[in-house]
This record gives sequence, C-alpha cells and structure tokens, in this order.
Amino acid sequence: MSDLSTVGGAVFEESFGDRVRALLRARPVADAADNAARQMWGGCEYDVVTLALAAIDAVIAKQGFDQEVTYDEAVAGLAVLAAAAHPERSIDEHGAVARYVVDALLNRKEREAPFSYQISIFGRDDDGSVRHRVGTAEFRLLTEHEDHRRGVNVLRASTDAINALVGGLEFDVEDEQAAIELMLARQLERGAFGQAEKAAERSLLLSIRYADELRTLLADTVRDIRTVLPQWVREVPEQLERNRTHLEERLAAESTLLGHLRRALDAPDTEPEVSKASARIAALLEKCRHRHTELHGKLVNARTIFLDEQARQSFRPVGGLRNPDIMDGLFLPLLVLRADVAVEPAETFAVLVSGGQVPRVVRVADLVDDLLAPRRAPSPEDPPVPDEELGDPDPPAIPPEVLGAAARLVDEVGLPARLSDLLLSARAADLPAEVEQVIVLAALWKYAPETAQDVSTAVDTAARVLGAAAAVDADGARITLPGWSGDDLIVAQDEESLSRWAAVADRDAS
Amino acid sequence: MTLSQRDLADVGVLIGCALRPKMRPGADNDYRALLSRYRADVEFRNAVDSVLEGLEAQVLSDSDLGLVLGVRRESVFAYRISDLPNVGGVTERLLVGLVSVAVAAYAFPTPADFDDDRVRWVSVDELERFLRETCERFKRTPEQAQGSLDEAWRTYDRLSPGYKADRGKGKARRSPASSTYWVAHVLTWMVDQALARSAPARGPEVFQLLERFRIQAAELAGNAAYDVLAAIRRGDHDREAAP
Repeated sequence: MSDLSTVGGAVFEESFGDRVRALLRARPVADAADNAARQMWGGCEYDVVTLALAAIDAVIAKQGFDQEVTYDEAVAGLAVLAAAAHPERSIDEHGAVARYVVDALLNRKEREAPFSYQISIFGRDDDGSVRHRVGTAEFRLLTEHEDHRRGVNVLRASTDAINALVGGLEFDVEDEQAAIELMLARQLERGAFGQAEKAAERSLLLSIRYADELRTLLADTVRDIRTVLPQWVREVPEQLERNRTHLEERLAAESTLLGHLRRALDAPDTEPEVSKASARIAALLEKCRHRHTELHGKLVNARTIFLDEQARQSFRPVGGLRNPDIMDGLFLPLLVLRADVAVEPAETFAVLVSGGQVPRVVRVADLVDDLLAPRRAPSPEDPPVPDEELGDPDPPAIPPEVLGAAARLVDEVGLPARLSDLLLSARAADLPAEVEQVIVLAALWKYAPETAQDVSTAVDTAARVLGAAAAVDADGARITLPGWSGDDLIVAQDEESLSRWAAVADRDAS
Repeated sequence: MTLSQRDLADVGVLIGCALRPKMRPGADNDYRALLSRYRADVEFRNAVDSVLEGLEAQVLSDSDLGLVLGVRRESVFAYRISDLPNVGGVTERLLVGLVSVAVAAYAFPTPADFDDDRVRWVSVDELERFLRETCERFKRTPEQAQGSLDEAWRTYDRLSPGYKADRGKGKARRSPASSTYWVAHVLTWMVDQALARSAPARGPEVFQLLERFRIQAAELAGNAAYDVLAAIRRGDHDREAAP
C-alpha cells in the first residue's frame, strides 16, 4: 500500500481517463512530426506540428459553409507556409510537405481508418488491490466528404479535432461561451489584449463545434428519425429553445463587444499594439457574428425539418429504414451458398445498386429510314482489309536455331562456293534436314526472287543465311547430290566475287 | 388546387433528370428549381412519387446531389446485367453480383458505417486481396473445406489473380479468366453508373465510391438482396422468389 501512496489517487479517478484521451488527440500530430525525419525532405526541418494545426484551422474556418475547403486547397495553403519556412527548397518539396501533413491528419497511410490507441485504465478494488484493464481510444481528426453541390471532395474537422484544438474542453458549450464573453469583457477593461484575442478565437471555435453538433442532429433526423426520436421527445425541443434565445443574446452581446473595441480603436491615446490587437479581435468577432447568424438560420429551421421528416418517413417502407449489414448479413452468407442459388441475390444487389439504366429502344422512324435507304455499293477504291492484320502475326515457319545453324555452316564453308559443297558439308556436320532445305531455299530466292506477298520475310531469311549482299548464279552444271536435282548454283558473298568466280571458271574451262 | 398540364410536364422533366445520374442540380438551373419544388411542394412531390411508383421506381434521397432513384428489378429502367460486355452465362452474372456485394462489404463493413458519409476509396488490388483472403478463410474452416465444391466462393477462388496489366498493353489484355478482370470490370461499370469515379492521383486503378453508392446500397440494394437471401434460406425460392 505504501507504493500506492506515491502514485496518488488521481489515476483511479473517473476523469483521469478523459484527460488521457484528451492528450492522445495530439498524438497523431506528434507521430507525424516524428515520421517526418524519414521523408525525402526530412533533412530540412519543417515544423510539422504547426503546419498540422494550421491545416485544421484552415478547414474549420470554412466548415459548414457553402464552399468548404477541398483537399487541394488545404495542400496549396500549407505549401505557401512551407515555402515561407524554407524558400531555398523546391516548389515540389513544399507541395510534398503539405500533402504529407494533410495525409497524416486524414490517416491516409491506414486507408483513413480512425486513429486507434491502447490506453490503460486503472481501478482499485475494495480490498485495495489495483485492477488494470486495456481500453482503446479511437478518433479521427480530418475526414473527407463529397460536396453534393459541387461534386468535389471537401475536408471536415471532427469534433475531436475541434476539441483538441480548443484545448480539451469537456463542458457545456453554452456556459463556456458565456464565460468567454465575460472574460473578454474583463480583459478588455484591463487591457489584456493578447488574452482577449485568444478568448475570442476560442469563442469562434466553440461556435463551430456547436454548429457541428446541430448538423449531426439534423442529419440523423433526415436519415432516420427513429434513431433520434427519444432525443427529440425529451431534450431537443428544450435545447433548441434555449439555444435560440442564447444565440440571440450572443448576437447582441458580440455587437456590444464590437462597439467596445471600436471605441478603444477610436480613442486618441490608444497604444499601437492595443489598437492592432483590437482591430484583429474586431475582425474575429465579425466572423463570430457571421457564424452565429448562420447557426441561427439552421436553428430556426430545425423544427420544420423535424416535422417534415416525420411526415415523410412515416410513409417510407420499414425495410428502408434500417442500415443493412452487408458483411455478415449478405456477403459471407452469399459466398457459402451453392453457386447456382447465389446468383439471384447477388444479381439483385448489383441491379439495385446500379440505379438503373434508360433502355435503348429502336425508334420506328429510324428503322423505316434505314430499311428504305438505297443499298450501298461497296466502293472499289477501298482495298480489302488483309486478314493477317486481324490476328496475331504468324509464328515463324523456320525455327531460329535452324536459321542459326545454316548461317554458321555457310560461314564455315566460306563463300563463294557451289551449292553442292554447302549441302555436302551440311550432311557431313550431321545437321537436321531443315538446314539443307533452308540453304537451298535461300539460294533459290537469291537466284530468282518470286514476287509473291510476304517478301520481307524471305529477304530477311536469305540475308541471315547467306549475307545481305549475296549473289547467286548458275553455269549449267548439274547438282549430283542424292535428294536434290537441278542446277548446281554458285553462291557468292557479293556480285564482284561472283564475277571473279565466273572468270576463274571460264579460264579453267578454256 | 390541382396540377396543371404544365406541372405534369415538369414532373416528367424532373424524372428525366433523375434518370441521368451524372446530371447535378448544382450545374443545371432547371433541375435545381424542380428539385427544390419537389422538396417544398407536397402536391408536386406526390405526383412525382406516383409516376415513379407506376414505373416500379422510388425516390431514395432528394439531397443537393439530386433525386436518387431506386429502381426495382421488374422496372423497365432496371439494369440488365447481361448487357455488360462478356457477361453471358450464370457464372459471369454471379461474379458481377459477388464483386458488387464485396465492394459494399469492403467499404461499409458494419451497418453503422452507412451513417458516416466520409469518402471511401477502393482499388482493384485491395478488393482482389479482400476477396482472396475471404476465400482463404473459407478454405481453412473445416465444414467449407470439405463442402460440396460448388459454393459461390469457389467460383471466385478458381479465377487466377495473375495478370500482366502494368506491362505492355494495359488492362484491355486482362483475361476474363482472371479475378482482377472482374473486379476492374465491376468498378468501371460503377463509374459509368455514377456510383464511383476513378482517382488516378491516388494510384493506379483506385476508385472513389460516390455518395450515390452509399445511398443505393444502404437504402435499397442491401436490404432487398438480404430479403431475397432470406427467402432462399426459408426454402421457398423454388416458387419464383420475388425481390
């Protein structure tokens, strides 16, 4: 027990876990800063934490309005900051840093899953022994949503992110706001403008968080009124009424504060820092007022939305109201069904999820026109499409190893030579019969090229076996080799050596 | 007060817009005006709903996204899966259905996920892996491993995942005998139906599931397919299971 006294009792208190959870909200940002060193640009010290908070702020600034911040806009904004921090680095790197920060807040690395951390929850039993239990804290900071009007993806900050930024505020929004108002008024009296500005910022963030709560409630109401019906019965009407008067008060109070600040600005003996600060606060309060007005509009409509949805959803088929359990209710059971039985439900899903198609119907007018049109005569200019182009190229008729063997043989014997000599050495070398045939065909092609189609293949083959400039001629001698008949052709490497061979042969003959 | 001829024509125009899923009210003034009339004017809304009822269709959502229609299978507007290229036989239809369900199961694993409208991304590779791992799990469960050998998952498992898509001639060369062909096929089809869009910035063959997919799956397809499945389980699918 004496060990425990050093720990203190706070760790067992209920609120302790809340503080741990609040602290964890900052962890993704810290992790991102840690991992930054491993990036390509890690050597350059960018302040990832500041950039991350700036990103959340930029998102919050427009959240709930018509033009929410898109991913690209957030990245572009951060890239400007990164560029200001390290102007000597390339623009690409600034973009990479900005993307890294926004991706980290979205947790893109893990497919935008929520950040999840294990936490220890300690408790004490009646006998004084310490219990330990593992819990998890799960939350998101930024999320991507589809903007219905524009069709682009926009970013939204989660309640967690707003809270983490405001500083782990866990109490009622309205009271907090009233407190800030009071504090601001006092601070202005005392001239503590730095703190007053901070307080004004908080007030803005709280307004945004409040709007978010309202948005969630209304979205739930539109989606399925039954899930929030108990809430509407008990808390919501009262809450809405209270909020409405509260907002009206706030609007009045903030314009009074603005008046105060303006008076401070107009006073002749104001110090420059004070006037600068109050100008900033004035701008901030103006933003707050804008927010409040927006909120007020939403609030006024809330009850109408509820009644409309009640009327609309009461006529909706009950089946449509519950969310389906695709994984356990459909996907896995479907997979274990017999294939022929599973087709029907699987296809039903595909057909219904597709949303339909407009059938293409044959128009009678077009059909009649087509039938009455004069028959088109084939134009004689169009050459028939050769069939070869349609299929794959034909496989080579002669295997490459045969071609290689033939070429080596011709090299060994040496040109010029008689065809019979080439064939004899081919037989002597115990080469396959195809080699002989290739040599003969190549020589014949060189002697009398046939002008059939597919010329290129024959030219290539002959050139590979006998050489590109080879020349072939006949002098009336007959081939005496068994298996072949006809002229014993003279094969030379070019025209010149062929004529020399002819000259020598003539001399021998004479 | 009754609707005039002009109003009825407007009913037709609005339904026409709703049947073109790629049309956005944000970009079309007439559509936007008629959509807000649908939301505000009960009589007009009833007229639209009744006409759609006659066409075996219904409005699933009337947000700024536009009028999202759910179309029942017996409707003239129902998609015919056999119209897809290379989908002729029972096996192909099964594959298209299974992969469609897999997309939903992968992106929205629990019922609560349908309440969250954050953006979901899927890629051909991820989905292939997801399906493959599910098949592997079935192989390890004893009662499946020595099953009748004609369960639906085996149809997918028999396909080879191998393909040479990133070399040479692209996905056009992917063979219908490969599983990735079917995953890519279904995702491309979903792009045509404005349920998804391709996101080349996020990597090769990555797709973003659009809000429309979430609505269609949550509001109609999931439960309707489940009802068919339940009917089969009860054993009365022999007498023409109507969805």
